[in-house]
Amino acid sequence: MLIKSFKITVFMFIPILVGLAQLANNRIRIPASDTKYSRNVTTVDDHVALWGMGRNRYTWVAVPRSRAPFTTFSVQAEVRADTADGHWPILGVAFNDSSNLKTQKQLTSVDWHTLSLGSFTPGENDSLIFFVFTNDYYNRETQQDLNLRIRQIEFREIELKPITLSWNSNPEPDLAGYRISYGIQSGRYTETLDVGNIIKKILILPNNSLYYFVLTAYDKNDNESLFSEEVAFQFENPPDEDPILPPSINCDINADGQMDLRDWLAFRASLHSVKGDARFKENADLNKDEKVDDLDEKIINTTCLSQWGLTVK
Amino acid sequence: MDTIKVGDEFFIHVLIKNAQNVFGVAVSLNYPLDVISISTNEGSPVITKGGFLGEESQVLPGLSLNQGNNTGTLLIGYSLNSGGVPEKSGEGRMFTIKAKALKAGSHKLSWSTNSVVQNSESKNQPARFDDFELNVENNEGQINIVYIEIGKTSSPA
Repeated sequence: MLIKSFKITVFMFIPILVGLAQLANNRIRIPASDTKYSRNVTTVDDHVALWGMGRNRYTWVAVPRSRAPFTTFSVQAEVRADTADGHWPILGVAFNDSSNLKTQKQLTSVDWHTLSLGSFTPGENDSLIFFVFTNDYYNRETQQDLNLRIRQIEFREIELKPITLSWNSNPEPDLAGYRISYGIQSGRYTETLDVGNIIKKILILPNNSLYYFVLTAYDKNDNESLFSEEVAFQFENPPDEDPILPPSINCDINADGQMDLRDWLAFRASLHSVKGDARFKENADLNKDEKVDDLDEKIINTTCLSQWGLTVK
Repeated sequence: MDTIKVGDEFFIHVLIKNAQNVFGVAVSLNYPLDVISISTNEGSPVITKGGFLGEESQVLPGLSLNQGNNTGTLLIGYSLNSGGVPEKSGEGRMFTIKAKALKAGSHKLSWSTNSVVQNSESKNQPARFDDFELNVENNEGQINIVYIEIGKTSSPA
């Protein structure tokens, strides 16, 4: 059975769950010199330097979880890069294990600047917060390497707020339920919830981001529909901090500067390709999981068709 | 060619001739809004894929209406399911469009200049897109059939 797509709406649900909101804008700032270090990290003047020491090695500083006693928080670091040959260092965040990276951001300036590293809700057993410098560059001939410097780290508590999603019910008799997928980047949904056969769901989310939601329906044989149209939602009063701008999906698959059906052809030529050398395979891998498959096609359907002048129901 | 009459629903069969190494086509057909309407099902143009690309293929339709200049543009993508499916050559029916005649007279249906035939390397193949003259008579009638061709050396239908 092919279940038709349908529209969903999203709006804030204030009256009942407002009591769950927590205090906003609490901040804790920690000098980088007041953290735990790995090897190859030293204090230099008012900051710490994380030395490259060659390709594929990483160094870190760490903060005990107890020093950032917020349920959900955003993290910013004051950083600067020592760059080489056009390469830039990458800073990531991990919990408990320095290899368990939750996010990574590339530095792009040799001047001191604030780098937003994202929002996090650590688990109960997460006792350490790592800031990990991953070095993916080293020039043996010139011995040029990358270094990363951190002056301070700031944690900002994020208020949690309820959002209610509602949608039109699917009329098909063998409907079994719905799944909500969402994320902070258009077309890239990092969370999926099976909510059963209901038509309204309340989610409690950090209020510091723009969220993108889609919905699918599934039947008793677990046939699942295409994504619904994507719905974006931004809380009205985001905290006062640097915006974390998600990279947008680039639907110009054939890289000709135009958005049209030729991009669809270029995507189709890359889809499930066994040749391995499709011209635009990299562009067609929209979710950047190293393959062009049905997940990318779902992103095409929700994000790109309208940009190509197509609307398909 | 069969005669089409006002009120008729009819099919536009889009054919390809002398084709070589075709992975897919991306075409736009322009038409006057007061002359024909493209039949739709739940908002999507009714486009039936033909046999040229075989079973492992997909049609993607879209419709853009510009009431200001009385022009509709029917967008159609038609391709093999992936670059791993062997390209097709020869001739055959690409797809069929269902439409309805609204106004009597002789009317031109034209392909947009950005219409392309491509191979699996996403490179344009040389192709000529033949415009089509649609003659609609002022009477009631039955379902009729017209043909439009895409081909390297074909003649207008």
